[in-house]
Amino acid sequence: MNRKEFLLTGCRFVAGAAFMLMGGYLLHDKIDTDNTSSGCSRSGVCRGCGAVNKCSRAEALSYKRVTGKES
Amino acid sequence: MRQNGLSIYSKPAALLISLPFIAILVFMLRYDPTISWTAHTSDMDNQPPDWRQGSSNVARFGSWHVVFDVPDSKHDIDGSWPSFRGERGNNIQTASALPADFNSLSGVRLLWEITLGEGYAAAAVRDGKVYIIDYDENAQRDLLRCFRLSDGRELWQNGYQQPIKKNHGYSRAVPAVTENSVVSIGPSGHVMAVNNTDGSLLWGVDLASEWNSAIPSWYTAQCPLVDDGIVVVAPASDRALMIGIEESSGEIAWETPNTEQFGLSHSSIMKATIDGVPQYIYAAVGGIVSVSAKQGDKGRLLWTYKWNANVIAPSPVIMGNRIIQSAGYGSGTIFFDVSLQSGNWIVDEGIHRAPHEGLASEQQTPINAGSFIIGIQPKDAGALREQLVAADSSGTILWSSGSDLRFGLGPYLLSGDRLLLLNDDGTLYLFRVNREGYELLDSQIILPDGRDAWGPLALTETGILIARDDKRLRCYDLNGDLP
Repeated sequence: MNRKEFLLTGCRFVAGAAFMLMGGYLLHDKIDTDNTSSGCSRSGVCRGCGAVNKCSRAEALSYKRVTGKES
Repeated sequence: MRQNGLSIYSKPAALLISLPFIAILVFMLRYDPTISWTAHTSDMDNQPPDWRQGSSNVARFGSWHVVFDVPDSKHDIDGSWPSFRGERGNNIQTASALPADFNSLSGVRLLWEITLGEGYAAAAVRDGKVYIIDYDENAQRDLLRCFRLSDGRELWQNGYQQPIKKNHGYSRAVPAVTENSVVSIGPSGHVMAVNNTDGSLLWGVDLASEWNSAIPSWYTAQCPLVDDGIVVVAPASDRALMIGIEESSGEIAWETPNTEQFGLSHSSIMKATIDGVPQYIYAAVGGIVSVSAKQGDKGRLLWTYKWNANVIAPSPVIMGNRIIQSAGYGSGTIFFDVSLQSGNWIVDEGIHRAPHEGLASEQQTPINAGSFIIGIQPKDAGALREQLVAADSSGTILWSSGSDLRFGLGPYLLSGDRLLLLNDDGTLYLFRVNREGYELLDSQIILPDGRDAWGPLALTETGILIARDDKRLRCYDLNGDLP
């Protein structure tokens, strides 16, 4: 392996690692969002919802604000 | 370079070679390929030439009048929403319509439904009757129709022949109902007043043929304003900017010259009192204008504010001395202050916000809710596109409904802190709103398979909601407690 090949291989490893890290970050973010935001089974109606305290949907954030239930 | 004794760098050869390129350059510089193009505007769809201005097709008012033989109603229902944006012109019904514990739409009850010609005209309600301007596509006739609020039975209709092509439907405006009469404006600018009991014709004024109005894009959406026995209308033509017509006789009471040559828009005249002076404020194409509504001084031009927005559908929103005017198609919103100082009206420079920079509205008029304004952002509003928003009087967004709650061009109104919002598809949303935020309380489909449900809502103080999509009008008892 000459110097050029060494540098190219190194760059590929670095890029691969960066892509894996980014993918993991996005996947983690999506799982987190699914748990609290997108998975609303009440069409955005927060009143009477047991999950509203942990929910980060815009509807829930506004609900907590107008009802004074912000933690 | 020399090849066989011929120099290709010789002056004549260079000139010869460059001549075609010079000719092409000159041609490109002088020829404008867009010279034969015409600007595409919405009103060109399917329209015959010269239909807009000074139409020779003068309507014969009163040529169609039918009174239906309808048995008496078993249960009369009362309620009022007598004109565009309700009794006070602010799109706010009294809180009694939707009480503080009104948190669900599950109890709403359909009272009746009628089929309409395609359009967006909406209902006015007074003394147990519903009035709406409609278009009979087969007979090519504008129709002012009256229905009984309790059961939707048609009581009478009055119309006139008016052949027009479909351009996003036909009908547009909301009539104004007074103690004695109903005043409507048809899609081609026909102002008509009829007796509100039997629909008999009182008078008619054709804005295009009599006042030389250029009917705007997507027809006339201006809703008549009746103030103290005077019908206030904006022809916005070379003959007059605004006119006052005697409600009882049809005589012209006053007229305001159109010194700035502003054009007719889709907006409606709003009445407001600023610094103690009652005035009629209108968003014309070219600028916002104010005309005195003061007794003894009616019709005098008070102030103007130039603004070049091509398509203006929302009406002016007035918050104290501040005028807020939105327009669609990227125009955004202007916010400016007017004040009376030493007898002179002072209009400040104001600020302009593009749709992505603050409150904007393409079609509906935002609501002045007191300490904040409610509106729905247009499609070109960036991240907040199509979201329900609240803003302060300078257009700064206070809150938005979020990316999961986006809406189209449908109407919305307030009753107390309850906001009713009808989406394009016929889904009704119930919100509780204040300056701090909103709470979505419920949603319900009230116009199944609805399409283009853009006509303004009518809500009576008795909790009757009248909504439409492009071809149906439905009446609901929201509280579900009427007989």
